[in-house]
Amino acid sequence: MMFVVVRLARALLTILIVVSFAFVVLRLSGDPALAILTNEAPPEALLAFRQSWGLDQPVLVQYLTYLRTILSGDLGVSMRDGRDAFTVVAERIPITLAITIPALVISIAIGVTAGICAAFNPNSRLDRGIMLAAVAGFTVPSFVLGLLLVLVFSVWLGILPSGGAQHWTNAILPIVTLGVGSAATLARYTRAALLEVLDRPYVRTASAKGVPWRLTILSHALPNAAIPMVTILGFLVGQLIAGAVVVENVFSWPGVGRLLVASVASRDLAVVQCLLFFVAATMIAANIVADILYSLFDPRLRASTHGGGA
Amino acid sequence: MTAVPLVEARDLVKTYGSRRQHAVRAVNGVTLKLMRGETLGLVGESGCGKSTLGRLILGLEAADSGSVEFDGSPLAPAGSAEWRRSRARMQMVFQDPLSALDRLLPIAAQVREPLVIHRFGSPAQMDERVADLLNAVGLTAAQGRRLPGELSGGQRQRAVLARALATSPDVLVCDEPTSALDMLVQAQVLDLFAEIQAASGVAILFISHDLRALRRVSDRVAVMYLGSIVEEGPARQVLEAPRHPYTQALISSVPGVHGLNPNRILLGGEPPSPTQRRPGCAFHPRCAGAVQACGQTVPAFRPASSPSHRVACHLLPTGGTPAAIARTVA
Amino acid sequence: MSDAVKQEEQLGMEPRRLPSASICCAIGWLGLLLALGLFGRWLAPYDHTAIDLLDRLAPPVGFGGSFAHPLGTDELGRDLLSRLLVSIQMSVLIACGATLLGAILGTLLGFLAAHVKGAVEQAILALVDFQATMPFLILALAILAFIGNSLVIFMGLLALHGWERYARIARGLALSANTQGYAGAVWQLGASPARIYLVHILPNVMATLIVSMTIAFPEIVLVESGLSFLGLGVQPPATSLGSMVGNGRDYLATAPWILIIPAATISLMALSVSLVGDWLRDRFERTGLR
Repeated sequence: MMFVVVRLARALLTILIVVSFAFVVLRLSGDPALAILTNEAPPEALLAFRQSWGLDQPVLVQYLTYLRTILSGDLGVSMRDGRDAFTVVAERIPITLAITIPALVISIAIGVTAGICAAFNPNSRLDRGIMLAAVAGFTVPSFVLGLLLVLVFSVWLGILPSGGAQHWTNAILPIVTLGVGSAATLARYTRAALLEVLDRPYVRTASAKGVPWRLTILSHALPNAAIPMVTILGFLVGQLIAGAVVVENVFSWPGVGRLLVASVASRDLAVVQCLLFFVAATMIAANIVADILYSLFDPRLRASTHGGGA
Repeated sequence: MTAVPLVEARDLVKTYGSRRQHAVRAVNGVTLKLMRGETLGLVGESGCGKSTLGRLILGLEAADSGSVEFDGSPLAPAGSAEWRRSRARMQMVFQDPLSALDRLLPIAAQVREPLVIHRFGSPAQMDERVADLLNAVGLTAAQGRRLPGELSGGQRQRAVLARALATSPDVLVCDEPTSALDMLVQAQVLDLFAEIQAASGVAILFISHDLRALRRVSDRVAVMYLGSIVEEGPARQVLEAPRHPYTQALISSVPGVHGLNPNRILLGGEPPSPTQRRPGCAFHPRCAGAVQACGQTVPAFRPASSPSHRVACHLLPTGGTPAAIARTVA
Repeated sequence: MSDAVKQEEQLGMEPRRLPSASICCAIGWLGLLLALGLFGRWLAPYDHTAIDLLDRLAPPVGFGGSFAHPLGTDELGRDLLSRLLVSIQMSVLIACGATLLGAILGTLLGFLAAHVKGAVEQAILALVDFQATMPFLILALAILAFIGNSLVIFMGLLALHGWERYARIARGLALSANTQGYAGAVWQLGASPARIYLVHILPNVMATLIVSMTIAFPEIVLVESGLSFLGLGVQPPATSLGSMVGNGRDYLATAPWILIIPAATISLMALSVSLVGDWLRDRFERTGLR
């Protein structure tokens, strides 16, 4: 119970910091009125804006007003679009999820499997090959990989479309590009975590007792190895979000990432701010899920190691 | 006849921990004097508070109540500029020389450091002093150029000692300086302490749980139990004719050349916990000779056989040695 | 499986005296890049902004081009080799500068948190948590949107990448050195806090910090090139590897070399630093010294 309360408190603190960050950055941007309304707006509109935002008030009052505005759900109006910023962002979220969730699933499947294969044959050519591929997957920028895939599959081979979102085949290349980075990270982590666990005495004992190979893995090694993997869940989600920004641009996929870049380029601050909060909320949720999973794994493990350990 | 003590501690109390947890009273009202040029051995079990007392005496931590005076004046608060300056006159030698030394710097540079900090003199003078110090502790110049990781435990401890003596301090507090060393090396380092003291007249507070080490170097011995001094006096008297039951048990437990003493005193009960203090004498739950008064009032610290030998025990005025009452055959 | 895993072989590297061939290659490549980073602009055969519309989209040597433009030309006829050299200089300088600045900032804050403790420490830890939670690219985009873009802002922004890691490390190591360790011993000698941190703690922390820097450097390269690719990083007329890739994107089908060459350079640079960083970390863990 205490645990949940502490986690929620930390989450609230992080949200507060994100909102404050947005406020600070907004103030640093010069005159927010000009920034949000642009200097084509008539002077009366600028004046009205300043008053409604309380820009003539001392900074602390502005901060509190800002907090109140945000927390009441008023996230501003998109400059380019004219509509409510929240709606503009929210309608694109499913489109982004359409590539990020499959990418996450695929990267877990491939990355974990690769890590397991590598861990079971340490220092073999398979292992070294997988690790090199993992490092490459991690360091080759996603836009490079994406463009290469477009080059190969769209331009040279012509079997996949290069952009847009008209057809489900449009999603293949973005998903692959997104998944590679996360798969590489997972492969490295899984391998390291498994290697550490496989070296433990109780695993060797089980193996020496003649317990079938797969049984040893499933009941002992994997759950233990799952813990470090759960701890990087937050990092993976962050990696996917950042990756989505670039990948959606490479493939002209009309999701949240494309929106973000376009909004930054046109300085549509209301939308950028809204996106910032969405991302923060997603990351906080991901971390809380990771914490819950972590605590779920732990007691189970405590029970099983005491029961079956050496 | 009454010389001014070099270090005088009065009624020191130090408690750790917040009120929520059980507070640990590590030092429970200790009064102690250290005279110039003498070695005071402080002995007790692990957790009795002797390390804490050492730190309080040097002013490394502030006591919750009580006072420490050095050469007649109170100590400056830890960390202040005045406190930093006073470090030239009082120093500490630690139990683990490896963690007390910076693993990246050669020994000679670290021995030189206090000279640099306290602006000893010209670089040439500092070099000369470093050479003298290394020589005094028995290290060669070649060893001085090595890193701590390249020396043996005994050599490292000598280096730490050289560093501590660099500014010719008046007081040296040594917290288990030989506990991490091999037997033979312990003997060498203890002889070194005695030599240094004879040569420089530094006063030493030698904290240890090892009675044999104390026997070699101490002029006077104080015995500590659960944060209080229970017995104190000239080394020979305390170690050969102990009056407090705890001291007697300690002394009798030291193995001789022929193995453990078959008549040694065995203490019953659990080792003490500073979070659960009982009224009266702290030792009474384990004392075979305890009487009713022992569980009610804390015994006063009074002279026993001579004015300089003091004991805190209710059993004293009854005459006869408490040891006879307390002895249990193994 | 039972001849499993000695600690030094966990990262897949063999415990040899000399580094393996791939590491040597990586180090050599990095050395070259560093040299180009310093001198690139002056080695370029042409002015990298010189437009020559008669010679647009010339392919590199070996694919139909001539030695006049060994790596070909782009859509405006600018020599790709020259642009590549200048871009390398820009990317390397930005990445080095940002890595260093981030390390200095993070270490200072970490030491500050360890030394001052109290509310300041809690505030710094909260900031560390915040930075660690949010993907850096998003934060960078938000700042770029609000504050605008200039080279100085961009570099300062990139310097914020990863500072929280150095802060955590510096704080942790300072805390452990302080009470029981060598830092406590030197404090007890009468050293001032400045002396303790600069002469003792910092050199001991340096090795771990450098390993962190080798992890951060390729990440900064990737963020910078990603932002420049999106058009939000280095702005023309300045050029970086990422913006070269962005420029070449429209010509993917007709003149792929325009983006392949800088893309390959970015990948190799990040890959090399990663490999060297892994190797350094491996060595450091084994010997415990630097």
